Amino acid sequence: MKTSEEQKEEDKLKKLAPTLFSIPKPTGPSAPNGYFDQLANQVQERIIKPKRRHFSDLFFAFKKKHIAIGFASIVIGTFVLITSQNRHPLMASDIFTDTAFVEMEDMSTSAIIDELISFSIEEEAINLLDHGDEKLVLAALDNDQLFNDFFNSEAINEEVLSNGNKNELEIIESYFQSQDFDLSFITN
Amino acid sequence: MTDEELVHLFKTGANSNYAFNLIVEKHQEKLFWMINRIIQNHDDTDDVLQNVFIKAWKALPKFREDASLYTWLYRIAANESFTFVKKNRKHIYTSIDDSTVCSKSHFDEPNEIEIIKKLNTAIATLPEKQRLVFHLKYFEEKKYEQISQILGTSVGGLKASYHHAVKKIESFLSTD
Repeated sequence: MKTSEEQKEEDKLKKLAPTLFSIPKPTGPSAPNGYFDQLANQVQERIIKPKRRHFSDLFFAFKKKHIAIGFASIVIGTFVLITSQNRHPLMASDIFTDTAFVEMEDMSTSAIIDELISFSIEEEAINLLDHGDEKLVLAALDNDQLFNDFFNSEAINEEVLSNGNKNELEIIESYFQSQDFDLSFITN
Repeated sequence: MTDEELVHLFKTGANSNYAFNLIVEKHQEKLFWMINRIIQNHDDTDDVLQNVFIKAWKALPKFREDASLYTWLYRIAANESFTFVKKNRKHIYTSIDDSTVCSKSHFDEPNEIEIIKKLNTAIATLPEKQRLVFHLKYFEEKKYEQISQILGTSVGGLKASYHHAVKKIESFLSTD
C-alpha cells in the first residue's frame, strides 16, 4: 500500500517521464526453457562438488574477511614456515597437522597454493590447521581495519587488475610485509 | 512457506537440502532478473546466480535474521554482480545478449517488443548502481527503505539516483 507521499512522488515522476510510465511493465526475466526448473539441482550439485577455481578468480571473489585474510595469512604463514623451519623446528607441529605439513614440506609455494585451491579453499584450507589453532587464527584474523586496508589498497587493486594472473602471490606477500602484519600467532 | 519458516527449517538440520531447494525456487527468478539487469548476459548471470546461492548456503547457518531473507539474498546478489562487473568490464560491454533485452512479458505486438527493447537499451546506458536502483524501484516496485537495506545507500541518495535515471531514460526514449 502506497503512502500519500509515495503517491505524490509517483505522480510527479509520471509528469516528468510520460513516455516511460506509459510503457506496460514486463513481469520478469526471460530464460531458456526449463532453466528455472533445473537451477536448484545445479546449485545442489555444486554444493556437493565445488568447481575447481583459479587463484586469480579466488582473489577477486574473496569478500568475506575471514576467508580473504585467512587465505593470505595461510599462504604467508606457510611461506614463513617453509623458509624458516630449520630455525624453528617446532612450528610445524604447533600449527599444522603432521600429515599436512609432511605433504607440504617439499612443495614450492605456488604448488601449495594449487593444493589449497584443490581442497576448495573457502572451507577446507582452514581445516588444514589444527582445531585449537584454527580458533586462534580466526580470532587474530577478525580485524576489519586490516581487511579494509588490504582490499582498498590502490596498489593491490591496480597491480592485480593490470597484471592479471601475474605475481599475485608476491603482491599479497609484499603488502603484508610492508604493513608489518603480525604473524606472531602463526610463528609463536 | 514463509521465508522465516524456510530459514527455520534449514537451520534445524534434518531438512536443510529440502529447505534450501525451496529457497532457491522461491527467489531464483527475481534474483536472476536483477543480476541479469547488471550483467546482461545469460551465461554469466547463471554463473553469478549459482555463486550467490552457494554463498547463501554457506552463510545461512550464521544468518541472524536482522534483515529479511530476500533482502539478504538481494544484497549478496548485488555484491556478486558488482564484483563480476568490476572484474569483467570489457567483456560485459561487448556481449549484451538478446535474452536480456527481451524480458518475459505479456507483449506480443512487434511494436511493443520494440519499445521494450528500446527501454532495456536505455537502462543499459545507466551506470551499474543506478541501473540497479532503477530496476528495483521501477520494475520490482520496492520501497526506498528496502533498496537502502539491499544497497547500503541512504534513502535520499536513492531518490536522487532514481530521479536522475528516470530523466535519462525518458530523454533516451523520446529521441528517435
